[in-house]
Amino acid sequence: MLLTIILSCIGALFVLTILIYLYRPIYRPKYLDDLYDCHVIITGGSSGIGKELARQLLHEHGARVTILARNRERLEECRRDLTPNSSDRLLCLSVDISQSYEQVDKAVQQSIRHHLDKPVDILINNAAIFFARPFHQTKPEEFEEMMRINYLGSIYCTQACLPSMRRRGSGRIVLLSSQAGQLGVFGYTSYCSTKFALRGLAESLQMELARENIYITMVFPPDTDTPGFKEENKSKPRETQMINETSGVLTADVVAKKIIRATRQGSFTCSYGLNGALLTCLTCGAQPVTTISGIIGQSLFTNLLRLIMLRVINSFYKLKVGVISLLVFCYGSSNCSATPLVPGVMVACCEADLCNNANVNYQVPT
Amino acid sequence: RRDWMMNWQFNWFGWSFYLAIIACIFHLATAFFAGYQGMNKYLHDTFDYEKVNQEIDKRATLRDSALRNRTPPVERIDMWLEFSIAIIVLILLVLAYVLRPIYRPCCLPDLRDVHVVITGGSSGIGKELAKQFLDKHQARVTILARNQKRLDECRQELAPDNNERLVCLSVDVSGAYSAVQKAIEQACQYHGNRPVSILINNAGVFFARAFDETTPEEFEQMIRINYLGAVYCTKACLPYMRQLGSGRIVLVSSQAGQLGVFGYTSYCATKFALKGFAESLQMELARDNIYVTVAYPPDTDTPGLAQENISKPIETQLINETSGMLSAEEVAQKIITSTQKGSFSCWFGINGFLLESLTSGAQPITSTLELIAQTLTIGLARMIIVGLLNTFYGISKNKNLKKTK
Repeated sequence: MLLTIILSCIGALFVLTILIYLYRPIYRPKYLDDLYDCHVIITGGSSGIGKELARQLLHEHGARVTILARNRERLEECRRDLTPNSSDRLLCLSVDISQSYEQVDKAVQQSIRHHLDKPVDILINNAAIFFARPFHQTKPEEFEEMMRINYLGSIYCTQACLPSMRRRGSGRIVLLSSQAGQLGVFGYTSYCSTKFALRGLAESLQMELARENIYITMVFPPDTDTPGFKEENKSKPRETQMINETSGVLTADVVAKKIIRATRQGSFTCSYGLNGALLTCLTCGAQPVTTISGIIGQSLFTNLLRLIMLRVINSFYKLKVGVISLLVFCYGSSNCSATPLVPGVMVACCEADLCNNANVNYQVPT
Repeated sequence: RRDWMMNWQFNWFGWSFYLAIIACIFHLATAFFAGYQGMNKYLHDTFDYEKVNQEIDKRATLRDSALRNRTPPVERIDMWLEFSIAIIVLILLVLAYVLRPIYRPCCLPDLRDVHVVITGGSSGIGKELAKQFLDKHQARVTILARNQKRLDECRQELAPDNNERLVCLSVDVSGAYSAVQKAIEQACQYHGNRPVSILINNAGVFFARAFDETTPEEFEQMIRINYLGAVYCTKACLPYMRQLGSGRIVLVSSQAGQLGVFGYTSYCATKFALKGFAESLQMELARDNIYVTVAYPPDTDTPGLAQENISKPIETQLINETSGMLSAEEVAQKIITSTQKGSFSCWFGINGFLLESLTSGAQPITSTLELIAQTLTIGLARMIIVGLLNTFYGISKNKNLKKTK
């Protein structure tokens, strides 16, 4: 009796050791303890999340920051705001990262020279535009513009910074995606594609860069309280608004703080709140993991999460309030939201039914 | 009844596999309960003689009462078993109702005279699709491609007797939206003013190259052709599908659109973009009876693949050898079947099935069978893919050592 218990324990331990060996994390990035004097390049850093990141890196960590953005006035304002005493730790360059690779390359070289020839340590690809519009109302030029800025801009910046990261022998690349980059939502046909594209880029690029000690982090923030968000809200379709209200709105400094922490850890994903963690676990797909707890969590919970997600998607397609939808609302009111515990969806959500909406007229070519 | 039969996405082997798993789980549950009770009794009986005597007395009284009443006594084990089975069945029924498919596309069994537009249809998978649509289903096919010479060859091969069911138009789908719109309009007029029913976005370029060796222009070209081309074509065809009241849009992605692989930085990004596009587009089009299908073929034996193999990095080659190669006819046949059914994703082989349930994420489903299959397989698939990723990363790290030697 006792013998069988002992034997089964030993057997279980043996199986567990084999499993832990087979499913060991694919790579273990070193934790970046000290960010003092690290050279960080932030694109789109003149407002919103990028500006918060620059502020925290400059003031809390004493890093050297380069901000790349298009609008000169906003850059000047940002410079005055972040370094009132004109410190040379901050460099603001005006460049359109989506135009051509040569411009980006020149800007990166200039910033390296300015910061005392320090190669780039961390690149944060934050520059992006976003708006929500139904597919038939989005013009073809808007599709192209969004893909250029969100996706090609990140490609150019990454290609420009990689040689100096290789010279240094280590580096971190951060790609700002969004929760719309994990699931497709009504009204975000152009935006979701660009954020999914960033994910494909990150997964394959990480496989190429793993041997060079350069690690990629993908960030999936929900709606964040920034000027861009306010701009987007002016023309958002009602369905998108209702769907977005199931996850809350975060402030930019909370988002920025978590990004910096995840970059230092080198983890592949960075998500916010319970909603974000579950969504990342569900859509983990073939992503690399850097911790054993990550693997165990994902293998155990993804099944259940798929069921829950199907119910959530059902409600997005139908947008009806029902008894089972209570699950969605409880799921949606996580601790990361600034909205009250009974989410606005319950109040705002009326009988709009996406599957049977007969109120929309479409132009048919004659 | 025919709809129900065509929704059967598994062969008998897969179905019996899953039934066997469920039967095993039930067996284990009952064995556990029985064993638990037995273990309890054994422990108590070994160390507690008082209890043993009481048990004997209890059984004696039970037996006497049974003999008197002639009704079988209800053992605790049976009650637990029935109770747990009832609970499980109840939970399953509730789940099946709550998680019923969001939309059920009606199957299109008869494709005769249906207007199909295939982009990039002059070679490879597109040509096979056109061939099957023309020969097997007697549909009306429009092929859009760039190279006029290949279009002519294709026309010779597919419609040798100057069949009027096929029209080949030369247009660059990634060029200007107005050109695409004009081409679609021309095609509809040619086919007797029939609006587009099925659009297959197959046009794509692919090559495998390390990130630093890919020029920025190549990134731009690839995203233009693979992604913007599909967007422009979809935008041009949608008004016709709305006019018709139904439609199918197929986006040909790739297994590289489900996981990122060494050497495919540009290609993976474009195929992932197609997936994001499909998910959000489907949410908008669900009320219009237009269904989006994304196909994930593995390496397919086409001229494009032969071209790619010339300059593929060694790491990518080693990684691609883990999944096999299919012929273009199999791929085309499966794509046509999925389009007829209207299912959201089209996968190929057991590899494809595992990848699809792994990366299903927040995708919609169109049949309960898909739901069961995905839910049971995801956890296992995640563990398998982590092991596989370890191998891939090992390959990509290893070659570096060899080069530096």
